Amino acid sequence: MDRTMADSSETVANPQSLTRIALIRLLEDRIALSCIGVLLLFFFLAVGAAYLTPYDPYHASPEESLLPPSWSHLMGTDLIGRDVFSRVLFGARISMLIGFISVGISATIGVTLGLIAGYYGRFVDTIIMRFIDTLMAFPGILLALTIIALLGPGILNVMIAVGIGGVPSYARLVRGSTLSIKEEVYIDAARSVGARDWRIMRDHILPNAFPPVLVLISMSYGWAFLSAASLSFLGLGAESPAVEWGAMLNDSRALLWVAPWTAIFPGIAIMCVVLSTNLLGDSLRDAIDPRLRQ
Amino acid sequence: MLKKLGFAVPLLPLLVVCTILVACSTERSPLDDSNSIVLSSNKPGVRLDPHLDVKWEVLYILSAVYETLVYQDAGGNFVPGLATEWIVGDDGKSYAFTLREDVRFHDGSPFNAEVVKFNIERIQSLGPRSLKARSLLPDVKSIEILDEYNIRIDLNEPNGFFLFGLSLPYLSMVSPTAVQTWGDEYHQHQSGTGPFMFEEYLVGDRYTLVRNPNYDWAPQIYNHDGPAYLEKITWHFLAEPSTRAPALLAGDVDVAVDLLPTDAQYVMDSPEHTVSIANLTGQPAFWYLNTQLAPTNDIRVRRAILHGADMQIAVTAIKRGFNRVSHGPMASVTPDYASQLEGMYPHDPELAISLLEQAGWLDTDGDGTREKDGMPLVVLMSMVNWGQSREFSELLYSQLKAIGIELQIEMMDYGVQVEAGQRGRKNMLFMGGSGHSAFDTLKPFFHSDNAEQGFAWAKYQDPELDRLLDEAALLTGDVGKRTEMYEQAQTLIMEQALILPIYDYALLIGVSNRVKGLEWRSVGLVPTFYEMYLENQ
Repeated sequence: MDRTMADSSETVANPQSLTRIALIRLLEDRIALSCIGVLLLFFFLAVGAAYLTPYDPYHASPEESLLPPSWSHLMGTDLIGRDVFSRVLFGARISMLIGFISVGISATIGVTLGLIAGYYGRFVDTIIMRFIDTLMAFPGILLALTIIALLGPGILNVMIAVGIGGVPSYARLVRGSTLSIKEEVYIDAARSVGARDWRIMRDHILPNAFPPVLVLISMSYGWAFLSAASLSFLGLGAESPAVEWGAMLNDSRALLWVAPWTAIFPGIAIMCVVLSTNLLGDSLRDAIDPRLRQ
Repeated sequence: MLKKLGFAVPLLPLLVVCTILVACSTERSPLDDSNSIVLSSNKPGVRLDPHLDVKWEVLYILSAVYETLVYQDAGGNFVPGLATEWIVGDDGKSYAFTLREDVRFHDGSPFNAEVVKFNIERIQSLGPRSLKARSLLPDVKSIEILDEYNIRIDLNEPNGFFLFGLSLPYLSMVSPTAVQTWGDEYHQHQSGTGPFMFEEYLVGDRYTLVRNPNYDWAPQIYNHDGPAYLEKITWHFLAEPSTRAPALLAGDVDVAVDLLPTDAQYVMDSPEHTVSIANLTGQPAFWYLNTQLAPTNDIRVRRAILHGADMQIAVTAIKRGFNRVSHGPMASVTPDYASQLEGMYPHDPELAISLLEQAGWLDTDGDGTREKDGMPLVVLMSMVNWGQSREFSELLYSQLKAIGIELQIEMMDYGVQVEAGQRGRKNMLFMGGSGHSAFDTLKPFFHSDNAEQGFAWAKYQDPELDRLLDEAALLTGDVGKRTEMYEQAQTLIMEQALILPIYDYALLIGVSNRVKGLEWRSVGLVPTFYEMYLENQ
């Protein structure tokens, strides 16, 4: 960020101090801290899965079919005798990765479209935003289902489908911010010294429009993660025998009576991740909300 | 943030109260109606017409509405039904039937030789629209009505399974008057000669039958005469299998057909219910091993897969011991079954590994998967969403990994799998549940004529196998010779390792203790609704 230009503005505060204040507020928020803790825990469990469990998540021991939780199998075993604990750990990898990549796709496409629409305005804005409106006409999960129907099932396609399903909210958010930021004096200043459009968008508008995007990323991660798990639950996601929490839930649907542990543990894992990201999103929003600044 | 949820706190007791109220509410239980019974099973097709549909529900439900010319007794012998006697010509090509004279359809029209002719011609004219009945009819040359109750059917070539086909509800007799009156709406106005009459069919929801008060022509296989004991049978369709056991235990239904094995175990623990097992004849569940696509084009690889897989333990775990493990292309209760196949491929990973090594597949880079000429030993498998194919596939993945074979599993819709099978795109394809006898279980699935268009997805070309399947079907009189030929065919199929058999189909039926007299006969799958009654009657 160009400090001279930022200082010349009346309304935009020093971004360094904004970040610092937001960070301090976030660290003072116990809920936010515990959410970060939970997410970090799952992250390390996913990364260290191979060292934390003696069992191969794909190895079936049918003689140990449907064993209830015990010291040797902390979360019991499934119908074909696979260790549920190691499957939950390994499942974290794919499940959380699908969420991250989907959000990445949503944010990249959505922010770009929003920036272009907001900055250029006129017919460019009209075309892009009507397209976004069309996407918004479908509920996110329905849009994702439609895209899966076109692309076919599979992890990569789930990422793309959920990613596209999340584009409209990013595009609208960034377009709104861009519309107000481009009226700022420092944008006029940048233009007057001959900066090109793409440079203005990249160096001056994007950094100022980004904090709310950060909140949206955190908030929509939960949605993306849950949508991906839902698609896998419907059998449209991870290909067999890949381990994914939604697919694990689907496998154990018929076993709820006889072996509830096969569904409860992946269910708890999904709930923890979604709740943590949603609460963290709330805290992040409060932390960077200028109106709440003391 | 959590403070924002504060408004919900006063609502919590309300929620709890509502939940308790809903749980305690008593809907009218079907058990209140002492002469009515409620069953549940899968969701059938839109048209439940015996000549059109292939679903098992044709056999479950419509066998109470319709009757066949002949029946099979418990020993598989043919006994009179709507036909009192029949004479098969010496050349095996002509069948003369004498019909009962006292039979009337539910719509009041009489049953006679014209009706039989009409029914056979109807099935023929349906062509490919008939998903099962057409395939059970032999190549009919002519039908001659000798008099009102005598008819002769001449065939172009002998067929050893004509009577078998005639004993299945797919070839049951429908009322010509009703078919001509209602046309495409016939499935909503069905009329047969059986002990129960069609009352209502709400597609996807339920099917209601009421007692036929005029019924007085029960075949010998039953223990009583006259009308059925029950007044009414209602079928509820519960498409989701895991909901059937709870419905049974809650008293919403008296009989739950096709329980999940895991749920059946649970139902058995209930003192008020029993679980009966109907072992079905015909095709077991198995995977084809494609003989045309590498690496399964090498018989040593196919045999290694059979020795490397342990289906006994897989069936015990996944089917909870309710199904028998399968050893060949026919279920063990099917007539003409070759019991010598049992023990042909014992689980022997060491032998499997040595077969793979003989075939040149070695794990040179130590990654656990074998290679040959730089190519990894990858077997492509299609998985379908029925028959617990997913569980078996994932278990096999683990078992084959132990001998150095990497299984790549792809989920496929039925239509996509049919195309993949016909074009030979996969090494292993899941199949199962078709057919009732050696005739309709072997030829359509292993004869080389059916490799490109049909279902012979092992794509094995062998004139000897084709000859056995062709000639055995023509034998009408000599059952011993026929059995011998079918046993040879089954042995050949397994020697060539054309399939990896998994389990024999078995239907798990949960029954309330109040329901008596209900049996499920494996041959033809026909339940004895006619004999069924409630204990307090």
